[in-house]
Amino acid sequence: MGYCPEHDRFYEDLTPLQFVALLTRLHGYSTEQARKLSRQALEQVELTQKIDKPIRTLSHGMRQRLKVAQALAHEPGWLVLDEPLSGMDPVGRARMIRLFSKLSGEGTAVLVSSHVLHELEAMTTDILLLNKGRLLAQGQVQAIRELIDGHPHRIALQTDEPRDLGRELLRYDDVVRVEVAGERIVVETRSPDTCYNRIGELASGGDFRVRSMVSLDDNLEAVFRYLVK
Amino acid sequence: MNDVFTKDRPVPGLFASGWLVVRLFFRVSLGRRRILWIALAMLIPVAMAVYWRIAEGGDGTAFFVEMTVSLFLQFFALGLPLYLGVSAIRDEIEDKTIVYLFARPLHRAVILGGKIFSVALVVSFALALVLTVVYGIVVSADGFSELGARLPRLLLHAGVLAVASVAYTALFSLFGVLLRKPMLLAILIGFMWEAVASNLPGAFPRLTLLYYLKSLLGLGPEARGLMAVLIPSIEPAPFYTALAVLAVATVILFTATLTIGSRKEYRI
Repeated sequence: MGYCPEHDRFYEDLTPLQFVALLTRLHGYSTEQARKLSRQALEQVELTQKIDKPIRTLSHGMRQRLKVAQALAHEPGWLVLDEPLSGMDPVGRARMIRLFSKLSGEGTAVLVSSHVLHELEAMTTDILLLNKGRLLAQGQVQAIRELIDGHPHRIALQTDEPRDLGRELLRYDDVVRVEVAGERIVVETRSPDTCYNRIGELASGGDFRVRSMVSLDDNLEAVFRYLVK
Repeated sequence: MNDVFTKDRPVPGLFASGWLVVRLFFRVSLGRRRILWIALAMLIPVAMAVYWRIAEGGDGTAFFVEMTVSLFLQFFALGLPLYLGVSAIRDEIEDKTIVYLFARPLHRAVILGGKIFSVALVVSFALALVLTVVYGIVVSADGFSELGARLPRLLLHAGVLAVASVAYTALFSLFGVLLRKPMLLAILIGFMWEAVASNLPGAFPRLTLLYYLKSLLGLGPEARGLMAVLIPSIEPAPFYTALAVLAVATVILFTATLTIGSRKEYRI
């Protein structure tokens, strides 16, 4: 198994190559094999600069990639990654996501733990939702969304008449709550499809001008929030 | 799923793993700063020996025994394992670098045992080296021919310091795995209980490691001068009894450290 911890901690005086090679040796590889595998892993995460400089001189993104490199250098069958994209720039994130997909395609079981749930959506459709060691839900995002149909769904609207629109929507039984903040209102409904249709009808009928309509509950963060309530 | 597991390699053997942990300790945990501190501390007895040789002179053997008990046994053999033994494990837990080791196919006991062994090795080597230098300086005051003649005494003292290093490393490593902030209690036990209780009257000395270590040197309550303060007021334990007590205590402490340290859930 390969494990990439969340914490940004290292043996700071070692170089990236020494760090990865030393840990790889603990898997029973010879010094030469460990160095070779370590170079390969550092190339995989595109950490080819500063591999002979002390770790303390690396940028945050480089350190993050180094953690991933030490986890995969010994070619594990399982890869457990705890917040692996934390602190990376968008380009770095995209590269890492590609790497994890490639490893997964080659037969490595990749398990990613993240609180930044939209990152997970970019990597997989299969998720486990855990809270304090308890499994809350398991399966595809869509299936999990269906599990929470009983919970109110939130829709954010931008309109010129927020109070009037809010008052109109509250007349319907499926609407649980309306929050007004300036020209923005957030509607909580137990029947999202009906509510979307109704708002569409009100807007197209010319009763209200709706400039934007966004579901606040389309991502995993929302699913998680509902499930831990 | 079987394909996933075929990539796994056989784990390295017990001794190979332990040796790698020892190498990691010397490469990473010991560090230049710690080596510098130890080297500076070790200059103290050398400087004292040189001063004594120039300013005082006299019975080199008596001074050598005083140095062994007062400085090496009661200070360095306690202080160095305390400094290194507590930090060898606790620092890695606090720094959260221990997860890199715990994620490898090594038993935790091998990781902890390798670190404890490394500390004991470093302390024993440093003490033996400096003790030999001090011996050369002070015993040669009685003539260079005495250096060879009194070699068994040097070997006995170096051996006692090695036993002390191992025993105290096991003790303070246990504090390192048991407590989140172990240093204060370790100092209290090391420099208060061990140093004070070993010189109290009654049965108190028998509850300290230091009493048995001093017993190995065969020093009894008839000692005079500085030694009268430093040596327990009760009769020393017989040599082999003292050795057996120390061996049993070390094994118990070492086993407790490995058992507790291996099973403990660390908040990292």
